[in-house]
Amino acid sequence: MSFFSSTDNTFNDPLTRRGFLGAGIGLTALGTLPGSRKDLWAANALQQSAPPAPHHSPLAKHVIFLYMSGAYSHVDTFDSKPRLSREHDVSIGSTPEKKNFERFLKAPLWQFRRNGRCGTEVSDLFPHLRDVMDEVALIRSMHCDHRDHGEATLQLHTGSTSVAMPSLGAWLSYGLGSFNDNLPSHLVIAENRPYGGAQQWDSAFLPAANRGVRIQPGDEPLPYLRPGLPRGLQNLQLRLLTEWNRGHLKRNDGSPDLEGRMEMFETARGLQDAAPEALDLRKEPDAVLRLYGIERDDKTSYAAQCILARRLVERGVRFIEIIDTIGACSDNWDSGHRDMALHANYARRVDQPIAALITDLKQRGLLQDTLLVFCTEFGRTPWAQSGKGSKSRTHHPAAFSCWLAGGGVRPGIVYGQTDDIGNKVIEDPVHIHDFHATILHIMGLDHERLTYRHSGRDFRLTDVYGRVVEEILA
Amino acid sequence: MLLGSSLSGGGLTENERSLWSLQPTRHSSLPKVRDQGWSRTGMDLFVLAECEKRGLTPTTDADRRTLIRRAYFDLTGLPPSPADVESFHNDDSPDAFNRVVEKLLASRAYGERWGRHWLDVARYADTAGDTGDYPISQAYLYRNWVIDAFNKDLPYDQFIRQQIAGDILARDETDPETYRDSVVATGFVALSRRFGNKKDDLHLTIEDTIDTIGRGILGLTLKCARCHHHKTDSIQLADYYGLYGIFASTRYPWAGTGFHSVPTDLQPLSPDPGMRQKISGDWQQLASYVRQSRDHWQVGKQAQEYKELTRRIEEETHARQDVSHLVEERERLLRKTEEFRDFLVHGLDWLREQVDTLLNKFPETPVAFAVSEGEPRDARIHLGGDPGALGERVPRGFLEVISRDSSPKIDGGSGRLELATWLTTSDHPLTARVIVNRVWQWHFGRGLVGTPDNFGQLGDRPSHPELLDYLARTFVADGWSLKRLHRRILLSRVYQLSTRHISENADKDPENIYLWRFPKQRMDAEVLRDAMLAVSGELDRSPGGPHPFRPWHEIRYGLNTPFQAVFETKRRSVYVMTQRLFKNPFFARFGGPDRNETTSLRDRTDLPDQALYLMNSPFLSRRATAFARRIIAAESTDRRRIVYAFALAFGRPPREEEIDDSLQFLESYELIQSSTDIEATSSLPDAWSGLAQVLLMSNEFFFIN
Repeated sequence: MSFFSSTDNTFNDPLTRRGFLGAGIGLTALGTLPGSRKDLWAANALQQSAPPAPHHSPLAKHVIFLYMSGAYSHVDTFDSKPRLSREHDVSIGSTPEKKNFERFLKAPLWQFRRNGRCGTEVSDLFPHLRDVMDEVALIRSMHCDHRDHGEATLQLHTGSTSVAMPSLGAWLSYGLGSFNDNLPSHLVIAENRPYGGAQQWDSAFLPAANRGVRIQPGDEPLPYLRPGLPRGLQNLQLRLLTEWNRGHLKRNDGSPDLEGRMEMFETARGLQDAAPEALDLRKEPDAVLRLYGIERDDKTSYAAQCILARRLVERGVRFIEIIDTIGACSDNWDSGHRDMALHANYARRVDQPIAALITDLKQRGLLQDTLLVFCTEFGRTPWAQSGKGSKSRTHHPAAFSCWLAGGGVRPGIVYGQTDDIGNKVIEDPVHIHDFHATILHIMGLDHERLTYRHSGRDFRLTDVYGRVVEEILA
Repeated sequence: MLLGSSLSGGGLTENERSLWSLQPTRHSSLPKVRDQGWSRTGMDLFVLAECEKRGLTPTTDADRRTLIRRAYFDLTGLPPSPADVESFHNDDSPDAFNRVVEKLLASRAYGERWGRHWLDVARYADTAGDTGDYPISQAYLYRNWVIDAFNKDLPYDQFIRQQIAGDILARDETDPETYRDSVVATGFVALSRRFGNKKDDLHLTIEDTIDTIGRGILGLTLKCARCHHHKTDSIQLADYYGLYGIFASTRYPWAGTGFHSVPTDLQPLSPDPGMRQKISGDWQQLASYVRQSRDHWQVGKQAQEYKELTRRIEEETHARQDVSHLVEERERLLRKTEEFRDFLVHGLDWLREQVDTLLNKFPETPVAFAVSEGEPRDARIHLGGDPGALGERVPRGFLEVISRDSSPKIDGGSGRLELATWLTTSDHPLTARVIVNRVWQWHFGRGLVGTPDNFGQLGDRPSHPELLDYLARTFVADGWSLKRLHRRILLSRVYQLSTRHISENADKDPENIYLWRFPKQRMDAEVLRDAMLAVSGELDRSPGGPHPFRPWHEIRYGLNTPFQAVFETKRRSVYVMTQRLFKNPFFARFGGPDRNETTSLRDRTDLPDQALYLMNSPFLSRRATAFARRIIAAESTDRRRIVYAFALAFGRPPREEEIDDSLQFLESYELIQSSTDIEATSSLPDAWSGLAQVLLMSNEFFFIN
């Protein structure tokens, strides 16, 4: 027996030294490294700060957070305002803050139509999404605190417009842990860097195990997942490592620190085994690909990312975000100083895939356990950005539309209302803090009790604000 | 309601005032212990007394190989060479360890290691943190100043004073080097985080300054008093805004922002006021031209108007009409667009020519990212923390609860000088306690106060209150010398204990709070990287200078095109360029400090993505290959190579069975390799590299006993 051929590598074994094996070892002896895998993605991290159990029985177990980067226009998508069409190019005057700027209303470029079952109006930008609106609770009364992309994106993800705080996904991971020992509990699919970079999925002061792990769709979705050596050689290394670590552990009278770091390699090995399968779309049947509207071997499109998200939900990941960035702002939903017509490109990219995701999850019985969040950082002005007849709309934090679907959500409803041009919220306002509080609530967490002590204070995602929007819950 | 209670004074309860950390440090005589022969130093007596009180028996002394590896990593962040280990191992003289400590304290590596600790406190980064994450080309000057300050054992009180008010202290300084150092030191304040893409969030930057001084130097969460009186500590709104006024009266430099893409208010490093003025003038001229030629899009409309007016003036002059009203209008437009006057008047081509000319004849400008005195003014309270809702004006000042009649009075300047003096008076209850506690933590892994940045009500109470005060008092009496403090700690018996476990002790004190054994240390991100480079023989020991940022006049960054780079280097980690918005991938992965706010405790989590990196990254593979080359070149037999590898990685010779394991590994590795497809394996690391990587991944390498 030697470390090469030992088959009972659990760390609970008596730490006896094994003899060594002579030359001539066969390849068959070099199986995978058997491990205890008894712990989570970051076992020791979670033990150090035991996560609070859910505060109440959850309405959903997973979140898929679909963030449309750059801010889509609510009045061109989900918030129909006939007055804008009727009074296109009509002035509504200036504001005290910008006395020299006259605001000319601007008609949406797309027709609004109702979903046949629930009656929710959606524009022709999203024909597929319109078809599944009967699964969706649409909020037309969102508002946030900042009019710049960077700050507003940070707020949408962390509640804060300035200092970096833990992200929503990190809080959920911290509060709930994971269902799968071999996958991180918080994954972020981001083809390109979003505004503010990794701040959007950082764990900040929460234990690092809750930090989002970024997936870049393509051939190398997770960094360093691909073995640096052929498996046989890496197995050999890991066996010697285990053997030496055990000897060291024994000489040090056992120690949780040392064991924790030994388990780290076990878990990594589990990830190395489990992740490629989870991230591999090749086994998806043709019917599924058709539903999402993609070709086989597509690994990178938005649709492929949606399928990936579904696979991760199936494998127990808590929080998955897809950040819809094609490039930087020159190529995302940001239509400041750009023709609103460009919205069509971005809508086409996500419309069918997201509708398919809802259908797919439902067919598999997963929709009831999965909360889908479709959101953006702020809205767009009902008036033209640069005077009468100009083609763009600028940033508008005072009103915008987001929606929730799936687990725990009352389907087919519309909540909140803006005025007759979509300028201001006039009924049932939902601030980002309320949005967060509601998401946490659906996941079984009380936003006022999910706290973490840092620099002398108990912090929470919603700061000192937040109201659960009960009205949209099933 | 918020201001219903009085702004200061009366709001404090007796209970708040009586908090342990706000009381003067107390002298206590050395404690009596039962075991008279055990202690070597006064410090030992304090630790032993607590152990005895709790029925804990100190464990055995560390063996020499363990001790020297510990001391090297502790004081320099680098492993000892095999020769260092062996010579200490064989040196029986009673002062052998003493000499090792002296040698290490005198090495440059000491400042590189301990300076790095301070840079955590100072939330040092090479970028500003605004939405474009502008690089700060001059930040390295502060970094190197910190390293030098540790190396020359700059007394801690001066160290603090210079960082808060070095520019003011150097006002009458004529020695160029002293002047330069003093001004550079204020990088501590200047490197406060920036926000947004304009310069309009200065209140957040000042909050960071106050927080860094609060938690970093005083161990108090001062920033909790930004919106309301501190909920648990005796810190009032007026305290926060008293300090706020000091920094609102301070001029912060800028590396650039999305909307203002050139650096401003950098400080010339010349003691000659005339020269400073000249450098500033030239700099401002150049910066203004660069800014105009680059940001002119912001005034496109005004430029059109200007052109139109000029055209009309020319036309009408030609037609002999009165143009005075047009000229006046044009003047008004220029005044409104003052910053871009040259652009409006002369146009882009002219500006670009000017920039080229100035850049050509511009000398290397010695400027620092440092603060200077601004317009002195008291600040008004931001109601609910909102800078748009101003309340009562508060005189600039310090914390009421610690202020004495003898506290310095602010007059004339910003108050930074007085703040610096107040922080470092010898009877300040917090400053010395907080730093000796940090030093203790950096040696032992845990402070006597477990919350190094919070000595308030919600912070931990000291495990050894008398020892903490003893160390703080002797530290001040020693002239605030950190090197003396290191000696006091390293030459104690407590420091030289082994990590040997004793079950009876562990039952009573499982976390080893009372130090019955030496707590095992783990490599932090910087040490891990440096140690791997050192063992592989690749570490570049030369000190780092500026980073290869592109020149400021060629760059612009913003929300959509932020600065993001990783500059590869084999220098020590302290010299690696680090950003605020975009973390260095290595340091982020291995729990490096937050560069956005002061860090007191590193994240010590073992994460699988760390293991994946160790198993699969090209970085490890390169280190392992170099390590293998090194041992192969140094020794001629397999056995001796293995012995050398163990000496480099672990500081000890291998056991017989470890040699056998290694030989077997090499053989099996080659066997597998030879039986696999040659094409695929020809580029693979060889067996020695494979073995070297196992050593670098192992727990014995990573943990320091």
